[in-house]
Amino acid sequence: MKYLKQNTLKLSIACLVLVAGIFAIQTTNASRGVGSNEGNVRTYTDDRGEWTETPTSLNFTSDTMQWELAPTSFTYNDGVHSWEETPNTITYKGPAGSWEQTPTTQSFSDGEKSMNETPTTRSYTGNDEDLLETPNTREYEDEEGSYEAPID
Amino acid sequence: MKKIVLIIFIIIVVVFAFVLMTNSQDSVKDAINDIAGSDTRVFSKTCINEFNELYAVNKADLTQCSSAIRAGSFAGTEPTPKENNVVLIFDASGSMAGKVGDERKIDMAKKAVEDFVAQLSGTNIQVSVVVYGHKGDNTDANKKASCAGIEELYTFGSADGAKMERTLKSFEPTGWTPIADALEKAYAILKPYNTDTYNNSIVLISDGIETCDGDPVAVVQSMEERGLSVTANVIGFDVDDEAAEQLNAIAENGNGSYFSAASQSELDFALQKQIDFMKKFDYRMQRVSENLQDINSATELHFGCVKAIEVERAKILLDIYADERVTKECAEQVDAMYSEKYEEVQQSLWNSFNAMVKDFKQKS
Repeated sequence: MKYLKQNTLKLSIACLVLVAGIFAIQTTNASRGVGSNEGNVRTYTDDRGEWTETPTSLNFTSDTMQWELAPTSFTYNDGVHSWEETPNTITYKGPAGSWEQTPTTQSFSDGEKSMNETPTTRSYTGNDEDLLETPNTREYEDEEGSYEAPID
Repeated sequence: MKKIVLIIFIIIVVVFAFVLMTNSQDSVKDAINDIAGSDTRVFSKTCINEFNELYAVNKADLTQCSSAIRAGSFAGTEPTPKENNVVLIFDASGSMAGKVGDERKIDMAKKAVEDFVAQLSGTNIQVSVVVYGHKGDNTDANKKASCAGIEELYTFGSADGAKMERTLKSFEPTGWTPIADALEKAYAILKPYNTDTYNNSIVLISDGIETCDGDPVAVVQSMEERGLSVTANVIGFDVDDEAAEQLNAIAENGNGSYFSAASQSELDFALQKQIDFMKKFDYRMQRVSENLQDINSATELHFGCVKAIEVERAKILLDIYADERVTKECAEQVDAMYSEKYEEVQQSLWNSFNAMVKDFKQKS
């Protein structure tokens, strides 16, 4: 105790240094980019890309990817896959092909095969086959021959 | 002694400081775990509270992400085609007694039909055999009786090879060629089967033209007008140009195909094609259409999750850095963990999506 009393000041300083050191470790590299909020626009940019929010949109842009969310749409593109979503249409494009859907139609294409479907017509081309279906007929053709038939 | 006391004191101070600066990270872990997995990092109590406030406001609905990540493959569809009904109209007129090579045409045709029906055994294809020309003879005196002699010798039903063999042995070629009335008979057999559920087709095998004063082209033309779509396919067996022209007209007006056969193998091929094309069309079209619906739905689910995660991260980062709603040290900690988890989830999502698309390509 006698020792402690004699060195109170030294011990206190040592403790402060230790605690400060721990805080310093916790706060190292506190921020990785630049953010701002001006008016109705918020942005943040760092080495990953740039985020921007306006009253009507939210988007992200980087060297490899962009996406945007608007009140009625979402678009996405990462250089390999792209996606677009609107109230009436959703479209995907990627290395495997592209496909699209609306409330009444759908289609697909990959360069070798394709399919289109509407409320009244369906057609398919691929695998050495051609198919067509209309309100009045069905047609099929492959390397072995062709076939045609009526439908109601 | 004094050194020991100093060391003990320092240890006590360090432990005390550490306890003050850290606390349970459960609430942050719970929040982050909603995105992906557990994390062993330790956050200050202040940071936990700050982040929980942000997370409560910006948390996206990620329920669909579980399904998107688990998808991982594309089952594809195996459609059930429409049932097929086939009425075979068999020409047993006198001319079928003629020969191609060393064999009678009637015997070659019977063999082709027998083989054809054998292949239909066990399928959902219903078959009937209507025979004409096997009654009376080909004299003018017996023309009326012969032309009226149209019979369904194999009653409409599933294909039975043994029964068909007996049927084919029960008649011989003798008389006239009432194609128009035979087509009417076939139509009457198919009439109960609506085309929403069934593919109805007629296969006419003939070696000659109508000789009973009927109009077979008019008959097939009228079928749809009378309420039932029927495909009339025609096989012209060893026919001359005149017969080929009329038989082709029947097929054309019956929305069917005309096949010319001059040998056993050509006859076999022509018969087989009738069914092959029907089955192929239904199977391929239905399969492609349903697969496309499925991949569209799966893609929508996938990008719905991508969107939710991206938007959630964007809003949290903007709150953290643009609005400075948490302390810098907390921002850095949360951002680091959040980004790491974000990458994990995105990677899982894309692995699942890419595997699914690969399957879709193979199955479509």
